[in-house]
Amino acid sequence: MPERVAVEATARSGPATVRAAALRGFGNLYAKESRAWTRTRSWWLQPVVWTVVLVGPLLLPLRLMRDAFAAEGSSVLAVALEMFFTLAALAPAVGAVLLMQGSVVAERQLGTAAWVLSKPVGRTAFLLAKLAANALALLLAALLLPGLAAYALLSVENGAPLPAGPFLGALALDAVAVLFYLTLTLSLGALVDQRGVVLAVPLAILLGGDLVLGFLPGLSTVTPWVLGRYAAAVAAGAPLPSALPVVATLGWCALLLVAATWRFGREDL
Amino acid sequence: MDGVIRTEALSKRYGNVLALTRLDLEVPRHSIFGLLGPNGSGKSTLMKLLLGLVRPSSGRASVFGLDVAQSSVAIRSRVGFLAQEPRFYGHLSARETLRFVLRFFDAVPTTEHERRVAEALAVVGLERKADRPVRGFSGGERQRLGIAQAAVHAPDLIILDEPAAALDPMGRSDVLAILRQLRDRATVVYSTHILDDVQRVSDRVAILDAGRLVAHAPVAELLAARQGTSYRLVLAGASPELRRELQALPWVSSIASTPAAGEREEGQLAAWTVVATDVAAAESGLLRHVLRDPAVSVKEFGRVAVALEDVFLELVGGDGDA
Repeated sequence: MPERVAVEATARSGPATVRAAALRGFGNLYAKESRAWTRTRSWWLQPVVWTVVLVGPLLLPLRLMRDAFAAEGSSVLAVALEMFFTLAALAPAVGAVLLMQGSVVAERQLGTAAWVLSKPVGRTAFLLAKLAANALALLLAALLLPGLAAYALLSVENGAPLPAGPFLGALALDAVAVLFYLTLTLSLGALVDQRGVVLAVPLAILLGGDLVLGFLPGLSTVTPWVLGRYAAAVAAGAPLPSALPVVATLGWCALLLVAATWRFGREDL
Repeated sequence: MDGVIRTEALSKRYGNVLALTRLDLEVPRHSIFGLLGPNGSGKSTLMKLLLGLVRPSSGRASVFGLDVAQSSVAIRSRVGFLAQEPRFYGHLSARETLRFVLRFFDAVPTTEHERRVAEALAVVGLERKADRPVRGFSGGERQRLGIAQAAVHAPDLIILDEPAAALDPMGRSDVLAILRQLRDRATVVYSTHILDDVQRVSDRVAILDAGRLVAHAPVAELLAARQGTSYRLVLAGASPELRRELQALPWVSSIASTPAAGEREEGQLAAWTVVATDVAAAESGLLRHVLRDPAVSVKEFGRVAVALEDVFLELVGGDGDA
């Protein structure tokens, strides 16, 4: 039977086939995850909410407390830039944790993961599709679109368009930070069974960063904790203080994904 | 035997619990294979092992000649599966769920999807609820959708974990009809608690008990092996002498009054189960011998049929459910 021969030949092939099997079903799963954003009111509600959350506070230095900042001799624009990029590294990261905390654990516990994985779907594809679709949607809704609104607002304040390069570079630094918390939460969902742990650990790392850096400042080079401050500096026109935290954070993301796919690949569903 | 599924000394351990112990099994192509056993006997574990959802602790299993631990994705591209408690994404409708499933199977052309979805919905009787979110479905409707999603891509092997659970008698009957239709183009492996259904549609059965295989044979063979040479006689006017005469026949090993509590006397009726050692002698001589007594009239006479349930209870004990 030709079909049978083909399947058996495929199964006997080398590492390329193994990789292909691991990623089988990615497109369909990615589309399913994306539809959770595009088919619901999330597609417009999320950008609106995030724009209010991230751009709304800029009204403090730009309008409500403008005189106070000016009296202190601070540049209102610099204060607004720092406020936006520090907040943009923090708030969307909290959103990422809340968004992803049930993503894998709930599917494992409810049995939908077992159902999907009874189809010709690789377990790696199952995890990566969740990460890719949610990362793209969240970064777009919670960072890029509010970022564009902030850029427009601050350009008006500046009286001329702000330099786009540094602004986009700063957004990219914040995106790396958000991506880390998204990956961490997703990976924990594959590594542990308790939803509370999946929620608590990323939030503790996110909110406890400054505290830890107070005791162990050397960790700033290998963690995402300084990326918000780096983003604010880059947006203000300063060079990137160090690329190490960026590389280290992306390395953590890769490491977490490897651990999660290894563990999830051995999970009895 | 052209085996679609083969297991060799397949075992699965969860912590200290041995869910499956050195299972050797073979499922022939185009058979309807019933998997029986009490709760916790390892039926669901076996199904999950075959799909690569669970990893074997030792031994090996192959489906279509492919090792389940190495090639589970390739295997699953030719298999349809219904879990014991089917779960789907609640926000998707039945139609969307079937479309979602079909998109995983490259062998089905995209142009075929809508026709396959419509056919599958019709077969399980969900056309009128096709566009409602699955979260509002009853247990029976979810079960029907589960059967549809297992068969929508016309797989070579269909594995169904209790497909008739949560279905009413009509639904059960529909499932049996679907299983019979599938036999022509697929191999069907299914577990159930309804032994009567197994006897009606299955070619072969395997009976598991506490993770061990206690029987594995064609249904007819399993029944024939236990088909005793027992005959039931219900007589009017039977005397103790007649019973003694029958007992003295060289090919009669025992006579029991039924029910076992004692000889049933309803007016003049006596019900006896006669166990013979020679079928030919019993079938030509038993009734003839009884009718020599002019005072006796025969109300019932027949060979006692063995049901799969009897075999099951004999093999796994009477305290388990199938």
